[in-house]
Amino acid sequence: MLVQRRALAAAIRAHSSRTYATAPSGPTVFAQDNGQPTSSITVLVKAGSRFEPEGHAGIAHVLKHFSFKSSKERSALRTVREAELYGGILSATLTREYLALTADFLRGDEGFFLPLLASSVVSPKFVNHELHELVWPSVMTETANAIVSGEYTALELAHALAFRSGLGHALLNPPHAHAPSIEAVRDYASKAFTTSNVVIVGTGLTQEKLETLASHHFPLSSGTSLTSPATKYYGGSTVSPSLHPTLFVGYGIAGAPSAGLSTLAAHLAVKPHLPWSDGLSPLSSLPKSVSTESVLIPYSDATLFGVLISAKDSAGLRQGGEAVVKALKEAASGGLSQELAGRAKARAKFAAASLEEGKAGVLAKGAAQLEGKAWTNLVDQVEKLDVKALGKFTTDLMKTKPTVVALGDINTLPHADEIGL
Amino acid sequence: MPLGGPLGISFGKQIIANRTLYRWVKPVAAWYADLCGYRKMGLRYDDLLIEENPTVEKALTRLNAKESYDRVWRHRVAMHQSVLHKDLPKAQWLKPQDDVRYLTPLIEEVEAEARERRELDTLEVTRKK
Repeated sequence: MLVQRRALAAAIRAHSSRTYATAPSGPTVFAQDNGQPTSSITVLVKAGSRFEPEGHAGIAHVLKHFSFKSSKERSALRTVREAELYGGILSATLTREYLALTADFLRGDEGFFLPLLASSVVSPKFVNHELHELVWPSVMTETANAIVSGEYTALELAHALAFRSGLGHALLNPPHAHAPSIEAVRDYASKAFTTSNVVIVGTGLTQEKLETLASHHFPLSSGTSLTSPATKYYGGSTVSPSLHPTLFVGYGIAGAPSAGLSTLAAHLAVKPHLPWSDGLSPLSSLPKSVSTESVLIPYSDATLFGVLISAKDSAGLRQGGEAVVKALKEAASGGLSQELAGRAKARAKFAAASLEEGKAGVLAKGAAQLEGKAWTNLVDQVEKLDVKALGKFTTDLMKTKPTVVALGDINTLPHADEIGL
Repeated sequence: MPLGGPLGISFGKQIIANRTLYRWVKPVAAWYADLCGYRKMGLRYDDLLIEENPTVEKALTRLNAKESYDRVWRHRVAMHQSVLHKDLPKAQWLKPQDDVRYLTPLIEEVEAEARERRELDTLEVTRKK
């Protein structure tokens, strides 16, 4: 009788332990394996400058430089040396929306690199002297290097004009700022490094393998998701003194990525796909001293589109700006030839397809999964666009307020109304 | 640099680990520290560590602003008393419980970092089979 009861109790125990054993809930995981010889794991954290709390401008940039510093498991030096021994590359990238900690390594080394990435996110120490000895100097150097570039400054101002708060936040730490307190960094990190803000993206790894590893090594608290108000497009015009004459002419739209904008960006892109040719873009006929570059920056709920023009002087900028506006007006009137529209569409489709193929595409899919949205490929949407639809899209776009940023000699810089907007 | 690094040679850890030994040595240690007389000038033990070496210099940069200020203040007061050839009035002597080792942990941290660097520099790597 007693023996029986014991056996029954043991059976119940065994059964119940199975029933109640729950796998630790980890963050979202997304992996794609194309059979390549190297793997890469990216911990994508929703902690870009967009989510910076009020009064803490630049804290996302500081957090970026705190990646791979001391954690409970290993010191900053050991992290780097061990990664070198495995032949891996560690990198941190900051965008306005995401902080990406990436490890690229040889296939099979994920058992080392995933815990290493995890230690930077799950158990970072945030030591005060590391902030002052390692992090802050590199933050300041990066800012100082960035602000001398006209392109960077123009895009920063363009974001601020186009989206104001949220996406308008400066990407990097402002050059005049003091170092934040270590408590502020710790506070921002504790809000950002939670399950609802983190997605682990792998390439060259199977989904099951990454899921198993991630559930072991990422015991993050669930926390609340970092939020920023939905983006709205404002637009505006500004001039600023600079040693590098640069003009940005563009528009932004709130909402999902648009086929029209990517086609327009492809239409205005001057970089030829064939060597030694000038390309067929309407901006290709500009003199060599005026260089232009079309810009298309997609975000989760907005897109910034435009053309960056750099020239020797304000006259060059004016010439470039007028050419851009003329090209946009031509597209708006539906006056594009079938051939040119076809070229722009082909180029936009190629850009979308090659983005999806690479690591950037896998990251974008992972980010979409974190946002709870379906990843949409623009190729089909661009395909459906014809000259008339593109004309209508451009007309509607040009009815909104443009974003114009001019850098250079204040006395002579062209303003929005002077280039035909 | 003194023998055994900036902190010198110490059997403190071993003595503390042994309860009997600790009971015997503690009163002598307390008496000796008091006899040294630095507390009568308002100084702490860690103010007397030789700082002219890279390890302690690094550790000093890691003090927080208040501790750094207080250290300089204690040195100034002590120097002034030294010029006067007088100890502070008894009410202002440093109490034994205030004689905190505020710099020692930082020095140990810097030493550990150097040790780790040395270890990694002279590492022999064998790939796991």
